[in-house]
Amino acid sequence: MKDKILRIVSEILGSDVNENLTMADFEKWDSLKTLQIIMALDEEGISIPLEKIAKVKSVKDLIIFAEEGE
Amino acid sequence: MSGYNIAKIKGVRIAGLSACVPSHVVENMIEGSQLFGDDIEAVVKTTGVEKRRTCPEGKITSLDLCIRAAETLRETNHFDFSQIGGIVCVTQTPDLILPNNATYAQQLLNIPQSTAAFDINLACSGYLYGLWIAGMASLSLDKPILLLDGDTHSHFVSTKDRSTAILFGDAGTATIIEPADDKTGWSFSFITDGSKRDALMIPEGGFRNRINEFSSLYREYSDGGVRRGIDMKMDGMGVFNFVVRNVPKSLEYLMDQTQKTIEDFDILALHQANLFMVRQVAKKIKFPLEKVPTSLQKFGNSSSATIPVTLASELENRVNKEKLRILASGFGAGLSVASASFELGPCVCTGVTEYEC
Repeated sequence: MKDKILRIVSEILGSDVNENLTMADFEKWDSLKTLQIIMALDEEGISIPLEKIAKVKSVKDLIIFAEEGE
Repeated sequence: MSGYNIAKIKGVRIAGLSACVPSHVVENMIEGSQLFGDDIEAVVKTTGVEKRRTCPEGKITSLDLCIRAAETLRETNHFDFSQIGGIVCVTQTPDLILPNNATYAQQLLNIPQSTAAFDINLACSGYLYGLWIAGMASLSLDKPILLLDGDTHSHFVSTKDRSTAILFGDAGTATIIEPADDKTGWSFSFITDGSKRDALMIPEGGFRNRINEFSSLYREYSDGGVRRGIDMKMDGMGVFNFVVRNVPKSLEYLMDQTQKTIEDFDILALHQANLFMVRQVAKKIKFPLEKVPTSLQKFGNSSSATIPVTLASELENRVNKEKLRILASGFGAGLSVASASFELGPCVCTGVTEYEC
C-alpha cells in the first residue's frame, strides 16, 4: 500500500516523492492537492477516514491514516 | 445521541417549486486555465464544477432571478398570488442594504399589501431555515407563503483566489408552502458554531469593517489568495473539517429522533459545495450515491439556492408526479448547518428556467 500511495502522490504533485515529504516542503501541495490525492487513493481502493482528511500534512500521514482506514 | 434540538412542523406542504439561472455559461476548463494551468482538469474533477451560470454584476441580481422563478410558478395558473400571506427571502446578496428584498418582491409580484415580508441572512444552510420559517408562518397565517431563495456569490469571488475562483454560480428560486392536511410533518435540526466564522467570510463592506479606499484593491494574503477586501475569503479545509465532523452527525441525529432509517428516504439532497464533499458525506452515512442528486456540474455552488436548484433540476419529472421523502442538509458560512426531513410532491415543479443575459 505504501508504494501505491507514493506513486499516486508523485503523480498528482508531478514530482517523485518519498514518505518524509510534508506539505510545508512542497509549495504546490495545497488543500486542493490533498483532496485530489484523497480522491485518487479512493479510486484505487485506499480509504482515508473522513475525519482525518483535514489533518493530512505529509506523505507519512497519508500512510498512517490509510492503514487506520483499512 | 444528544446535544441537538429538533424542530417539528405538521400541517404544511410544498405546493410549488421553481428555479431560475442566468443564461450565461462559464466553462471552468477554459476560464480556470489561467489560474490553475495544467492542474485545471484535476481541479474540475475534484470540485465537480464543470460549468457555472453567472449574471453581470450590477445589472441582474438574485432578486431578479427569484422574481422570474416566482413568475414562472404563477404562469402555470395553479397559484393565486393574491392569496399569499407572507414573503420570506433568503439571501446574502440583496439588491440593497436597506430596505430588504422581500418587501420589494411584494410590489414586483403585485402581492397584496396585507402580506408579511422579511429577509433571512444565511448562506448555504439558508433554504432549510427558510422552509422552517415559511412553514411556521404558513401555519400561523393559515395562508400560502412565498419562499424566495437566491444568491449571486460569483459577484464577490476573486478570479485570482484558488480556493474560490471556480466554484460559485448564481441562481434564484421560488417555493410555495401552504397549509395542508399533512400527517407526516417536517423535522429540522441545526448546528451553529460562530467561533469558526473566519473560515468563510467577506471581511469588508459590513458595519464592522466599512468599505474604505483600499477595499477594491487586490492584495496577496498569507493563504496564497489574491483578492479584495470585499471578496469572499474561504479556508476550504477548515470548512471541510467542520462539515465532515458535523453534517453526518446532524443527519444521523435527525433520523434517530424521527425513528427513521436511510431506507425511509428516497433522496438525500445536500448543499452543492463540491462533489468531493457531497460524496464523502453520503458515504459516511452509507446513503446510496444513486439517490444523491447533484447539479453543481452544470450550475456551480449557488450558496443557499443549491438545494432547491438541485431538486428542481434533477427531480422535476418525479416531483410533478410522485411523493418523494427527502433527507437534506445545507452547511456553510457561520459556520452553520441545517438538516431536514420533509416530503416533496406531487406538486407543481417547473424545473430550471433561464434568465437571458
